[in-house]
Amino acid sequence: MDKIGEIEVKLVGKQGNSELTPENYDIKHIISMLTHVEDMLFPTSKKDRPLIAYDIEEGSVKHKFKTSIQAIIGFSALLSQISQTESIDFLELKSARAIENIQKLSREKNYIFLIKTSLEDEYKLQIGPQTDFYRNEKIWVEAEFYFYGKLKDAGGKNKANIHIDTDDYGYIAIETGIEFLESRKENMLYKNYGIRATGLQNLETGEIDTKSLKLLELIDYNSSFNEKYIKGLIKKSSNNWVGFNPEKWIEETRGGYDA
Amino acid sequence: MDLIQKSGLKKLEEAMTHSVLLDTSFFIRLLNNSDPLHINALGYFKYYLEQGIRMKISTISIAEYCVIGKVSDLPLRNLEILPFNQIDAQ
Repeated sequence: MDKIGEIEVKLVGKQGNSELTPENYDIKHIISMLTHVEDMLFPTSKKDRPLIAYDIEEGSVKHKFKTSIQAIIGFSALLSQISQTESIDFLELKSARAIENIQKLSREKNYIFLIKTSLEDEYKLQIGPQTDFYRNEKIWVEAEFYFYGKLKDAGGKNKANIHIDTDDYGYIAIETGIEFLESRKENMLYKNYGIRATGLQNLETGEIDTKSLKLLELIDYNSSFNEKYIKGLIKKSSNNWVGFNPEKWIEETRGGYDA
Repeated sequence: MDLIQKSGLKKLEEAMTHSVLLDTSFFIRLLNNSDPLHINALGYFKYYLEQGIRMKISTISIAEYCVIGKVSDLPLRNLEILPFNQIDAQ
């Protein structure tokens, strides 16, 4: 068996009154398609991925991608599953978003996308203006998150955001709004913070849509022991708990469940 | 081979950060200087911070603590909050 396989994304459509060909096909759509295919093939880690080679041919426009046969076998199975279930809810977030973007372009430009691999002769998946490859919104629900780490970037020309480097979620961007960054007097960069944010979470997998995160609150976070701070809190709060037996009180409060 | 595995495990352990989820009773004892276990709770609190062990508190524990206490009394500057979302309620 050949160690290299191929993916073909055939595009049928028109540019004005003319049939679409590589000569009248805008480069921004080519750039998007390269990203979409990479995201569908390797949604989680691109660092160690094999080489993906690209070519474009006439008919109307054929995008051809060559990569390792192992990746092609996986991609072929993925196409079958999408086609059979007519759903993209089972996909990793980046793959799902890539399919959604192709679906969106199809409706905007009245294009039909036909996708197959070198393992089969027939096109396995068709995305056109009549298809509906979008994630089920009910699976993605609004949720609240806390992220802790070092703030390493803040700004943005149109969309203001901050970037925080976390142990648990990697390097993530959170939209803040320009007013928030304008109002900060101190330098926030390279300091540890907690961030309370809203965003979308997949109800089945728990996955967080990191593109949907919006800042609610920036929290001071410091992982060093400060005796003055904790003693101050103890002094302030002790009177509230005089005479309390914590275990007994919690047992009564919970009535048999664990927090 | 054995040496390589052990060396790899050591590196993995070094790279890992440890964390501890603290329950409501811990904070009640920590924040009440007349509690018989207050000194123990304070000792643990200090130890975790000094050892780089991340301390976590659930939003449920915060709600329980606030039945009697105030949220501003909790040492949130040193704690990581675990949210409670729809997926946790299923």
